Amino acid sequence: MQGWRKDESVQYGFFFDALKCTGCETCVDACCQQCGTTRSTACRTVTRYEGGVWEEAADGTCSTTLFTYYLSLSCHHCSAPPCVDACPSHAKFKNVGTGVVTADPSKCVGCGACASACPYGAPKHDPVRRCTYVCDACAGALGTHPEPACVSACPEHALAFDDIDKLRAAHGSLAAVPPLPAPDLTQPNLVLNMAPAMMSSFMRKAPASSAAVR
Amino acid sequence: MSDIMPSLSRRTFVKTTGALGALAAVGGSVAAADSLFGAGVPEAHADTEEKVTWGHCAINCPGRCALRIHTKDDEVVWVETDTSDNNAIDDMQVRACLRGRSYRRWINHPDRLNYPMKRVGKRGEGKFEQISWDEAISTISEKIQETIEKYGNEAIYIHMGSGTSSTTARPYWRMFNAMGGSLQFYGNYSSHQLMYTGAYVFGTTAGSTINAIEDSTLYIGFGNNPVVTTQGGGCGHTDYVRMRENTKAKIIHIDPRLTDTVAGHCDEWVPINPGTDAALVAGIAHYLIEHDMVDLDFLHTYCVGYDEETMPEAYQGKNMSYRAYVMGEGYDKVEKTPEWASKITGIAPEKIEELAKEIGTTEALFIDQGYGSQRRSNGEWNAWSIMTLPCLVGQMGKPGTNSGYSHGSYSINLTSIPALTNPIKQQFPCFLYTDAIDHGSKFTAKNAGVKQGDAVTSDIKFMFYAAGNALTNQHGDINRTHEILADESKCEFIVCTNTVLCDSSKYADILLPDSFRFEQVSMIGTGGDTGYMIAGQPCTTPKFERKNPYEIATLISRACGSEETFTEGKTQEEWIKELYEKDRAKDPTLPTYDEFMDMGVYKKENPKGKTIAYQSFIADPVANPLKTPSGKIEIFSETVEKLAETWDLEEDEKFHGLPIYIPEWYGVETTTDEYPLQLTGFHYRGRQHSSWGNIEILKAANPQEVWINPSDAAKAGIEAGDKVAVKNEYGETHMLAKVTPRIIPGTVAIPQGAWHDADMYGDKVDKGGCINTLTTHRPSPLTKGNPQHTNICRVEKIG
Repeated sequence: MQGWRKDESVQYGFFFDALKCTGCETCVDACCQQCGTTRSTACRTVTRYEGGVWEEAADGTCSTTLFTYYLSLSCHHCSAPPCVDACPSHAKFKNVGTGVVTADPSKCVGCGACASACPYGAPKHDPVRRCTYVCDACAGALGTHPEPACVSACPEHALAFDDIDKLRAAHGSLAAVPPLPAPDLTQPNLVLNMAPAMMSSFMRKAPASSAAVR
Repeated sequence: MSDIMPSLSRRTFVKTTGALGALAAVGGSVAAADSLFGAGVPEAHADTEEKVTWGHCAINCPGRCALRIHTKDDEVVWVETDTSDNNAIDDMQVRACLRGRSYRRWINHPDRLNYPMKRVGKRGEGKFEQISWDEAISTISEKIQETIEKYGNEAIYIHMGSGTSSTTARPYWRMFNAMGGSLQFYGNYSSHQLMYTGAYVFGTTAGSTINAIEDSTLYIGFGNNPVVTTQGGGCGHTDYVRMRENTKAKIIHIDPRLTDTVAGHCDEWVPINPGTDAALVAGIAHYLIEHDMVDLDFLHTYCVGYDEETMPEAYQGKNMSYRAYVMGEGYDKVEKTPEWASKITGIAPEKIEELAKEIGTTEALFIDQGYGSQRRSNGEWNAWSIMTLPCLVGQMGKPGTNSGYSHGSYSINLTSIPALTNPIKQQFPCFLYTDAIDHGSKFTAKNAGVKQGDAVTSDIKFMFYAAGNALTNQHGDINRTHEILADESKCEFIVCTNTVLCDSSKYADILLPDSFRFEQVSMIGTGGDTGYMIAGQPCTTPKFERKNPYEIATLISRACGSEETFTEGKTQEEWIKELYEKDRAKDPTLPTYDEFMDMGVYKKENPKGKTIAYQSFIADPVANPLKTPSGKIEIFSETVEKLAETWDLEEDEKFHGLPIYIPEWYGVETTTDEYPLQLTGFHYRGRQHSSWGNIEILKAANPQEVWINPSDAAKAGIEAGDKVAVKNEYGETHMLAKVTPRIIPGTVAIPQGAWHDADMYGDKVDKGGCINTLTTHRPSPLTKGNPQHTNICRVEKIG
């Protein structure tokens, strides 16, 4: 079927809706099943970000500015992909039709250079098997998925994969929230939807104890 | 189902010697071996054809998600779910959660049970030896007959096991009823206190569906975490997320933890000390009364016991109403001001006032509760208080409101195989099963809440336990439970069926290898906002010597001479078909049996769109009275007040027929220097109770961790990721520390359901992080439910 490949001359990208995501990692499981990876080598990962402080009043009661959110991320199929330049065996390339960044397995020597080059840590290097797993948006899958496996697995429908221009038109152009790097670095084809209240609470008060977990 | 007709390449044929057999089975055009290598032989790969079958999840979760099981060479290779081209959240798909998608690892688990076994070590040691089915069945039937002759059918018991569900998954009550019956429990470990307290308050309990919140202006959830407790695409998880997309209501969650239901959305989280919901509601009620925000018309029309005006005659003039309790005129003469409530709940008085103001002024209020608030030593009063809250402001029976009971659902209810008639009528509360082994014959209505009779007449002597882990792992106080189960003079014989050797199965005298529902023909109905049902075919041929429950029950019945009564001459599939045809006769819109088997998943919209709890009662309380003694909502229950007067209760178990705040046995107000922290349990992502607790990939994603606030961790010298021991008077269990501000200070939380891992004939220290090493077996006072979230403990760093 391969529904997402219906248009062969656009840049594809992922949309992630943090308002819907509840951090269940069903997407990661689907990714593992599709690619035969384990959780540590899965191309998709879920990151939890939390911050805020507790304030204890004199009467012993507590209040808190705590917030937390999840980010489900894989390769952003960047428009300026550093992994392509970093690959010593010229295995990594950007598909001219779809803009999907992937690797030619016949050329990949599993050195992990792409994984080191990616500021998102998207390629997953397995030093034991000497191979690197990269997201190809399930381009090679022959199953029943009209979309990448992670997208059609999400019980909350928090992921989408489509023409990035369409996604930006529909959802805006937010592509970086903590703990992600600034988007001008690699120009990721990623669109995020975050709770406005949460964003403003984060912007207002950079919490001392905030940390990316996992 | 896809085409599984294989064609053959020369390479494949040479490689697979069994292929000739396969060809013979397929029959038809390719017959003679000598023509196989000639011209015109079709090219394909017999060993790579994938077959896809429908199946359904059957674990104890309302979401019975659809599974699309892919097999190759009669082995499951991967599991996907209800997917289609449409990725819009408003189009309901029964997408399985990460656990449902992980079934391959369970089906093919190296520890899967394959043969009948008999115990060769002590009970609980986990030492077994393979035996034949003949030996297993004859031993079981002899023991059944022995028990019946010696003690009567009252001594036979099936404990609550929730690891499998479908219209024919639980045939064992029928099996025993065909032999003269068995002793039965009532209730469960999930929502016992809520259900039976709700029955005193409302008669028949009901909650509005989640999509009704779309019309609310304020949603308040108590101890409710639907995105984790009911994961998957067809029920609470996705219904809640979809609702949140579609509602303008302000959403507030009151919970000791910032749960994943709150995460990502910046809904307001009000951290509360666990077990203090009743105090919070009383504090809110005080503000509402003081500020003239209570809806007196509603309270006088629909409720009993808010104030003197509607107190039952026998209790008038005694200051026993809820208003009297709140305003300091009641039995304890303490005014339940927000300041009073704040000291107990840990919520600032201003926040309580703010909540009260919002509750008192909002247009459409949806008060919801999960099962967390009620699974406590004072769970009845928490649940009852939360149900009282919408009454105080008259927010019931109209769009966007709820009853304060747990949110409801719209389900397709399929008929299950009839259980026949059980001549033994008396029932005891589920959570008292170890006591029923130890001294069931001393149970009465007054000391143990026996129903349908005054007393139980025998201790349990023969126990049949199918597809569950609540004998030990999920029951209160494992170490005490072990002592009772290990004593073979008490329960003389235990039969377990399971797919794997879980902790409970280790106590079996005979252990039988069970099958998954997707390894046989199966059918199930359920629902959330939308109803749905799933039909499935076996994904592979039967493997090893595993059997399904219907086969096992048939074999036992045959050996006991009751086969004809049990089967009525029908196979499981014939039963499924017959039961389904009955359902279809009632609802002709359902697809035919064959159509349904082919489509796998069938969905049915709620004809009302949204269900509003008690809509008809609110519209006309005279024509549609509730099934309570007064016909109204009982904020004061005369029935319960009389139980309080007549039941055998310990001093710290005293209660009233009113939703008052009662401090817990092991609560935030009763911690000690030795055990300074409150300990609560919660449902975890990677397991449904203990199911999936042995699946490595899910354990990696969901490590067993005790949640502890940074301030408590600092006091105990604990850092994130440290290995810790959690201890109290009942035992000791080990796990990792998750130091997180997502839990209120003073309380720690352990995800329930981790697999108990202890040497029960040695130090009994649990390495698996199972919370029931630390819980009590003592039931709650009124409904005799499980208070497994009410514990105190200390946490120490270890090696």
